Amino acid sequence: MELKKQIEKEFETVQEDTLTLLNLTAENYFDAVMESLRLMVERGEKGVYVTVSRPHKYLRMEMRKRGIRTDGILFLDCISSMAGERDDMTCTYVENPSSLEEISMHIGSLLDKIDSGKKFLIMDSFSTFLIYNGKNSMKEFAMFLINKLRLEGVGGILVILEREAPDDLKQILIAMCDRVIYI
Amino acid sequence: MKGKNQKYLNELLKGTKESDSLEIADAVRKIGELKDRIPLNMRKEVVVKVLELSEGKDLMVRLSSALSLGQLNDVTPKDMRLPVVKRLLELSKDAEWGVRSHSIIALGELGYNIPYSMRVKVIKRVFKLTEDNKDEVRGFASVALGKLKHIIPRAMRSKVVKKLLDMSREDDLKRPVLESLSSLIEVIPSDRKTEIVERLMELTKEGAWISITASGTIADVGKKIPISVRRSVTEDVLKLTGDCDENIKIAAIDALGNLNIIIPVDMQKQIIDRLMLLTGKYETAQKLNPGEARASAIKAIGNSDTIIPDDMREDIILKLLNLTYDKNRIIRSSTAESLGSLKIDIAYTDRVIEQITRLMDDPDWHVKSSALHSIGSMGSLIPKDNRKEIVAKILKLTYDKNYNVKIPATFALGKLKNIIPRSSREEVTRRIFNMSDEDGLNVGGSAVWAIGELCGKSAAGLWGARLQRHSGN
Repeated sequence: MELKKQIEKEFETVQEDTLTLLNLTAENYFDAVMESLRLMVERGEKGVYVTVSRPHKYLRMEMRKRGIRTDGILFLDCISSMAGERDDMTCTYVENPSSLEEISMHIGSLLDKIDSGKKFLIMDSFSTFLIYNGKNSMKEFAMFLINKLRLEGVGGILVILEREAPDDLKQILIAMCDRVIYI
Repeated sequence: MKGKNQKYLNELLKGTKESDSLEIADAVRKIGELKDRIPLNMRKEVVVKVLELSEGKDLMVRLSSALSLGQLNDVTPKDMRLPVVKRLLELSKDAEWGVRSHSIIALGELGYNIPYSMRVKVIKRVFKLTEDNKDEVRGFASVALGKLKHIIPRAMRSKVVKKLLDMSREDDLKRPVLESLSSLIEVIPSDRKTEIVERLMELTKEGAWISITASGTIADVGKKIPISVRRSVTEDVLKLTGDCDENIKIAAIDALGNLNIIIPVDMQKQIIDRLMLLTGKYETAQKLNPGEARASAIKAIGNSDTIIPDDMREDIILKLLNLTYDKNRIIRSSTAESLGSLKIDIAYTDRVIEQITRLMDDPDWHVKSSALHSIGSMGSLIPKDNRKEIVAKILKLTYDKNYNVKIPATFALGKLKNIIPRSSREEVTRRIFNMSDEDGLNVGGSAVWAIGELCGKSAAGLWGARLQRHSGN
């Protein structure tokens, strides 16, 4: 089945405040994230995109190419500073992806900034976070994030690469999310 | 699948020739993420390409290339390992801290694949970077040292531990250093081990983020904790299960469940009593116990089977049976999981199996999934009269739309191979064999494993048969 249609079908039952774990293969990863984002935007939702894998400039460029509106998205870029880039006023930067406390703080304030009843957060991705952080830190971060989203009734799309997360972290994410979508 | 991978990889290689550096950096990252999906015949070409890109002027491209070289570790041909290590060492001297950080992360990934001739050089370089002028680089260097523990020369180990212990006193470095210290414990002398555990315990008393990571780390260290400090570690973790910060409390409960191997005999009853108390809605008459803490306590009991005193088993089983009716799905799911991990007295076997079977019909998929995991481990305990009915129920769940139900159902059938009634065997085997052709992630794999179990054949042989069928031979 074409990836776009598959995503649409999987998201049919995803509610505004559903926490979804996207478990993706490396080949489908980026397209699946972009299509999920498209669906959320087309539903009129506004959200925060936390990127560890790719600079927000690249994401914006890709979104434009794919016809996805970017005006309702606030970016939290955890990678560009490492490449010396933090000059875009429309984006919030974090010095590096191991600053989990700082990232948590920014997530809270960016979600507060969104003037919409329908909010979502995309975490792209836990697998990349694991390159920069230990397993135990990531477990705690995952629990913090999921609890925060639940408490605030914010929908979440948490991304992992199929073979790039230790089993115990994956089990925590599966247990705490409402839906798991394998693509 | 191979053709699809090749096509995707060709597109990525094409992407590395783009004029936009962001596009190139993205292509390099995607190549790294592919890892062993890169066809064998293209691996050398890919590594050479990434090496070439790592020399580029653009910072993001260099940074992504360094990371990819680490991610491609297991697929780097032997004759390319030396040039990869040399390049990463060069990148570790880059003027930009982001590139230095990524080269260090990559070196940490290489581990045993670092050629012998380069090992000391790599360790010395990584060690040097623990003194870098950027804290971020120092943090990544400390993590890399933990990952490279097995190739640290004996003569350097104490020096490395001392350095990391010193770094663990710097505010910004506590968290990265924590996990590398626990990793190093495997390769260092006893007196140093004690020093590390004592430091980890001190860190459990820090602010929430550090404390939680330290508790998890203590649990990971587990049986490597020296005998002399086991009692004090147990006492400290036990105390943390009463912490007013919910997250610290949960981390400590999880740790207790994983530390059972080091808990002194005379403390075992006290630990189980505490965990039992923590499964309740109220810790004390006034203090409400959060659902996540209760779930952690239930799981910890399941992990502590070997230390449960005989005279407590009955109470525990009765309590867990009761919890299978809890309104909170997290509690039901954890209970289903724990019931499958505990030794069950013969007097309660039927009741336990009855409840686990009931939970396979739970409206929540998390609970169903845990119940299926547990029923798979029940084997011959399942009464003969119920086997047909239970197998039929599991078989039905292999049709569930949710992979988190479907996959454990398949595994359960494989694990229960010896108790599947003769009359159901053909249907089960046929169903699982059909599933081996399904494209869904892991479904085919779980089915092949189950067929291997059911038929007593090697899964590899069955994969071979499946592939032949697909290739039309």
